[in-house]
Amino acid sequence: MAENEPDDVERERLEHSEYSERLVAHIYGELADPDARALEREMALDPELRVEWDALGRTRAELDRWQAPVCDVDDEAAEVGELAAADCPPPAWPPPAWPRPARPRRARPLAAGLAAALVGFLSLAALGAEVRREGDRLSLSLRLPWADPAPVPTVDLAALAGRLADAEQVAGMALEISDAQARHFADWARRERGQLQGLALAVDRALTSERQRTASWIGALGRGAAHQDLITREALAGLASLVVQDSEH
Amino acid sequence: MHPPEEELPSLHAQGDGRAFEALVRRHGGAMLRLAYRLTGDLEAARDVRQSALVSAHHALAAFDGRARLSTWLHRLVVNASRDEGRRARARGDAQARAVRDTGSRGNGRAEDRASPARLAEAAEASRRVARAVAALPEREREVVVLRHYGELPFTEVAAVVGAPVTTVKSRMARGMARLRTLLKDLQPHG
Repeated sequence: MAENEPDDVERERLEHSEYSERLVAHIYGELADPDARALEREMALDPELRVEWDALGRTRAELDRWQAPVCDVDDEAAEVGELAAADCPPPAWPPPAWPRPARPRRARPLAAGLAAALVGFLSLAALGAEVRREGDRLSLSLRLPWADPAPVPTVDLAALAGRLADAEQVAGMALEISDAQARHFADWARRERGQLQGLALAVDRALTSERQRTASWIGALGRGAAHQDLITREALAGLASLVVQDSEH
Repeated sequence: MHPPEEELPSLHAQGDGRAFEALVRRHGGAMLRLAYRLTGDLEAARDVRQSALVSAHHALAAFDGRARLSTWLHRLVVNASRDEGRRARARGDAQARAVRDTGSRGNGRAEDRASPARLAEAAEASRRVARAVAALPEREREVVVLRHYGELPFTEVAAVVGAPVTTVKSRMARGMARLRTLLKDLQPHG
């Protein structure tokens, strides 16, 4: 008897290992039909096996609770250099407390003011704001509700970009925002194209009338919108240049 | 016009820059997602993907097409992740980094966003699972991540990690059993 004990233990261990592998294969749908049916029959007769199966199912379900910040990426639409910008889930709207802008001393009060204005302006988007794209040119039209039906102010962002000698360089200067902020915005913009129009509207308003501008907001718009190919990089660089110029004066 | 996948290696060998760009467009997202699950850390995942892409750039021209391109790229990510793991262990922060940004932002549905309590609970559960996966031995973590999160069949997981299918299933079974214990140990009140 004593001689048989190690063998029994070893056999039991091997059997358990074999069953565990079959259970894993079965729960992931990779057990061939006859084997799957045989395993089901065995589980019906073996409470311990059934308990193990149930535990495996719970563990598998638990794994699904890991919410990675890496969400689905529209691989085809993504810019090669911008893949990371779309890797996070969208923020709720209105924007949550985003990470501090790159230039907190100057930007924080302005950002707060612009954020408040933005929420109000977003509602105007449904009243006639339009972002039009024709080739590399983008124009933003704003139909002011209190000036209906005319005039309709129009800002040609692509024309603004023409002022720049090196648009990308300026965009790089202006896009000094945190990656997390850019990623939040990029994903939000991807999902909410309609609201992007609202944001563009707010930026336009800020640029043309209130003179409130921050590199972080424009930068977020730039990264998010350029990623979605909704606004050309050059056009956004044009906006960014205005921010830079403004912050230097 | 995107070049067909099977032509990417030869186009790349001919110096056509569009080939590698197409590869990144098609597979970059999946590579990052895999790297994140393997490392549990978004910044580390970006480094891992970058490293894997650099390897791919060097080796794509010599890719022989015996495996699927995605399988080959997965393998590069796994290898880069192992390198990252070695560096992290050398720094002594393999466990310390434990998924610092996991679950804090979440992928919550709209209705979930309305309930801070549910959000907090989901975030905590997410962190708990991430910690458990991060605590698995490297080889078990790889197969769990590739099979469960990568949704690769065991045969492809085997090709990615360079092990027989039976070994992969065995690692998966051990990994799942270990996770069961780890998850129980990590219960907030348990």
